[in-house]
Amino acid sequence: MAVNLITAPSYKSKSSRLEHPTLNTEAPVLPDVAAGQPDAIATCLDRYGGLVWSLARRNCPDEQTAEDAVQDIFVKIWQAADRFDVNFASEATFIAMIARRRLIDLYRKRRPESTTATDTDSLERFEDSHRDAASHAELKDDARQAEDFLAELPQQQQHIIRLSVYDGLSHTRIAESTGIALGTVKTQIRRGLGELQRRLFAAKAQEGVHHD
Amino acid sequence: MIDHTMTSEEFPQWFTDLLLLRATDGLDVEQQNQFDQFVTNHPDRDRIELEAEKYELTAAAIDLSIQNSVSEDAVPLPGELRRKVLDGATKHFANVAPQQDDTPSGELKQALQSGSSLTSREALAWFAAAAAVVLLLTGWNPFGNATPSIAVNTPIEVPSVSIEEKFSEFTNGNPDDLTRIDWSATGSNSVTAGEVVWSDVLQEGYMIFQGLKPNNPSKSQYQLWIFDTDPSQEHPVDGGVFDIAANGKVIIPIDARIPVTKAVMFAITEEKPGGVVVSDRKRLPLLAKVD
Repeated sequence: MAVNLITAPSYKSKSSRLEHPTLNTEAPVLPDVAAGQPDAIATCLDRYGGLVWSLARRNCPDEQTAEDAVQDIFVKIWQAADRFDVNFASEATFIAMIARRRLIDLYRKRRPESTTATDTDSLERFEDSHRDAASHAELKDDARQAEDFLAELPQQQQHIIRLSVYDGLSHTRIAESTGIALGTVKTQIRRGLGELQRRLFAAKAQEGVHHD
Repeated sequence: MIDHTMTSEEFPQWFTDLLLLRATDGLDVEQQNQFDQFVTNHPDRDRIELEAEKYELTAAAIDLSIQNSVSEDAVPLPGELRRKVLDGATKHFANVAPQQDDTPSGELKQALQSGSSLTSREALAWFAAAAAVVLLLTGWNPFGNATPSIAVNTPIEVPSVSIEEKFSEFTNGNPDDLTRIDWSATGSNSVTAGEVVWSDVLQEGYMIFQGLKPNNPSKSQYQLWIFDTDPSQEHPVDGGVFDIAANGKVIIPIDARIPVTKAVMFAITEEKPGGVVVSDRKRLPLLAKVD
């Protein structure tokens, strides 16, 4: 059954958003993690444990597999810590990438499509075009830029990318749940994500020029 | 230095589609083979891997921005899970050769003196890591014969479900298709012994090594490759990267990146840190072939 892509705005209260930790304001911890420094590892867990936990819970079928996934993801993070380059991505984005990669490998591909939320409520959660400036300030660097660039894409493209990237729906499932032709779904993801990639890394390059 | 101006515009559309799919849905076996083949034939593998990571980073940034906008109050890592992750870190770094002088023992002391939030269990885990470093540097095992089932040079013992226990549980479960094959050294100067234990049904397995040359993780890492009978598998399956810190007996879990239909051979290569998508097999110290 197709759902209406244009829904009423539904966003969190300002107070609850401000309780989120700001992920990217502190100095990177991964270089020290790569050296095996215990304090850095504890800091890394304090700083990003909640992020990885949230990603795992959203992508795993149950709490136990989410816990297993978190342990597995952090081993991957320890292994990859020395590859982190602050000039290429923020630390939170790098860690989220590792987590997403592992979760896709482990669970998302195997997740029954029927268990994926595609109802109107889940779409409403994504409608945040009226977000307040205070919460916007919480997002730093890559995520904030991604949010800005995403908001500039056509409305349908935004929703399809959100369903794919955030909810983990397959292209086929997106087509089924939205009533949009599969070919259009693929085209929209290709164009949208491609455009976001180009703009994000062009912005990074620009930052690098300014920093130099 | 990373070239931020690189784009994937010169890639064929089908490969760009694979990159996008990899960043969102993941690749199935056939798609992974197509990806591997393209990378293998490309003169600049590092660049391809970087391009692939660009899409993944973009998806991660989008994911973060949406998560921040829709989630309720941030949920911290549960305490018990945090302790397990710390235990995992202890094991991981205990198996990584020390790269600098500030050893975990000193860090542990400093952390405790500074009123760190380490619990007694965490402190015990860090002590285990420190002891492992002592073992590596001096040959003295502060745990004595506490772990007789593991070789003398086993680098760590921590109070949690150990890899040895997991391995024992796996083999005692006696899967119907359990395969055990001894490693064969390819170099004349190698004294490596051990075996690989694998179940196609469970998609789980372990590698045991005795005497495999320790690696410096900042320069290279070992990588496992699993050869599959599946005719669509033109390249072996990536079984994960790992480090060897000591010449003693070590057990490493196998981490197959994609499902294996029927494993027929296992190979260990030495690659750049983080591993590679496709190995050139120039440094291939060990093989284990199913009869």
